[in-house]
Amino acid sequence: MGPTEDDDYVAYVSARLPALKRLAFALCGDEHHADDLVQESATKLYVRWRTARNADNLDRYVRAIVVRTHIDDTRRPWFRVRLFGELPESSGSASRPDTDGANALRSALARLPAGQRAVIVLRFLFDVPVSDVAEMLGCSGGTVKSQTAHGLAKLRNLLDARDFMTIAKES
Amino acid sequence: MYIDENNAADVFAPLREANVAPPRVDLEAAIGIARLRRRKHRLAGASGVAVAVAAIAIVLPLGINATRHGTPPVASATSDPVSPPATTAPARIPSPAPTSLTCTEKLLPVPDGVTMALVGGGDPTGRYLIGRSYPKGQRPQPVIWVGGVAHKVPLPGDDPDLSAVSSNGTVVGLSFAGQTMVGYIYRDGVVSRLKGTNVAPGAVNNAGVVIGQQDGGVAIPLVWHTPNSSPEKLPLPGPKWLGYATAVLDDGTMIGTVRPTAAGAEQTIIWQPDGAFRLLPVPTSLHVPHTVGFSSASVRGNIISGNVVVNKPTVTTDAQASYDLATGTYSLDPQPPRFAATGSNGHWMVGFTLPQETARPALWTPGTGIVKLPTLTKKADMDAPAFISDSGDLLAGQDTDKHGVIRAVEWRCH
Repeated sequence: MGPTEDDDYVAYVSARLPALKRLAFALCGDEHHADDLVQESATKLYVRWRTARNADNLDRYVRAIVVRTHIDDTRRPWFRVRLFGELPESSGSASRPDTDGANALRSALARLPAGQRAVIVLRFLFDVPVSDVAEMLGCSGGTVKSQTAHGLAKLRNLLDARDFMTIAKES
Repeated sequence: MYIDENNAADVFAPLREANVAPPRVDLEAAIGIARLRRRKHRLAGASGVAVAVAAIAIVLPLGINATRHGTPPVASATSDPVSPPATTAPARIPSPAPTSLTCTEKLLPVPDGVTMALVGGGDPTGRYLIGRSYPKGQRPQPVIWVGGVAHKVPLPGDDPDLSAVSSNGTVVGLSFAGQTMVGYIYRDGVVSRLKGTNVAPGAVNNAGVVIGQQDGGVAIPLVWHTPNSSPEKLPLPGPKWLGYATAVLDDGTMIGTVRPTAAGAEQTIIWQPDGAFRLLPVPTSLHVPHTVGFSSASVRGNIISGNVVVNKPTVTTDAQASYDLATGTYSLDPQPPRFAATGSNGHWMVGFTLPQETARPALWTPGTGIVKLPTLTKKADMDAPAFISDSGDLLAGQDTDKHGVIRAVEWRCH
């Protein structure tokens, strides 16, 4: 790519790394994996930058890369490129203060199939409209809605079970 | 806790506030690996050279404006032809070009009964195919198919992968030792480590000359004159130039892509065996606006395939073009509508149909147009051939079965 294209790429991605990390973390629930996910997405974006930079909505396009990479990871775990060795312990999720409720939600989300998790995260954590989610995932709006319904139903079951266990433990 | 569409956003509010650590992302590494991957994802095959997985022009969804600029694909003479190597054989596609083709699909055998596998490349004749299998719970296993018979290639290290195979069955590949890339050559059933650290062999010829690159985010082109020799840096036009080698022909001619700085415009370079080099002319004759260079991606026969490099941020161009070493002319590659190419033999292309939601693996030839390939299930999941032989009758790649498992397959087209 030409110098301008490279400069544009670095400027664009650098500014969006925190947001992409948040999306990646919401999808996978693990700091290390989220970093790998963003790293791999940044690599994919560079490969496609020449066309990607002309996307109607570049932010949506890049989010789609992150989401699809995450789904691909769950389907094709061998596909990931090793970029780092062991990360320092200090960067782990243990340093992140979290509430019990948030932990429960994150734990329940992690138990959803990757597609349902992506739909829930995009719609309710990142306020992405159904039509945009459909385009990002390459499916119909109806599929997004049904995935949402199934995902929420499973979350209800998971969270209800947890509530029951908590009550039983306290009583 | 009750949760439905009406309150989901509120329920998930605590997760929005999650205190996520600053991202640990290395953009220099991303760019370096992307360049390596982009090079690797092009099908190479110059008289005995073939790089693994191919991807020439993936047209992406999501409203991307991926229209092609430039003139129709008419060859244009340049003033600077390069003599073709004497040993380069012409592609043996059928003549006259067929107007219809029928293709059949076959699962390839995989060592140890493993089901998950794929083909990433092959030699121009198609006698040798290379790829990987994915035994459950184990690291990937590099595989070479010789005349349809599968053999394991025992590369040590993590994430072993095969890069290329020559038409006499010499294979190069790489794996990781921690974060360090290590190169290997496989001949006569024996794996030998190539000298050098953080090196990525990209191609090999029948004489065992290996080309590749040293990669630390920015690439330096290398050559191993013999499998046992230390790598030598290939000469570059200036002190700050960078680049990588794409192919090595059987007469020792090497072809690569270089740039004056890390962010400079890419140019195609041709090295003679003695190290003398020349840059290919900038393909201004193709009339792609703001053309400043040409990056080589693969070589088959006399044809160097690659990308027209432009230097204008407002110009949408992903123009694929070819340079004919025999005539010294550039031409724009055909771009069939609703087709994304993943490989080429210099004349025909393999890939998949668009849109992505209903993608089917496909072959494109000038006489037939797009020929959809048979698949294991109705849902192709963007599977596609990664390889097409010079003769065009053998295609190979991956296809997903009814269990969602990727299988190594070949297609025969007649």
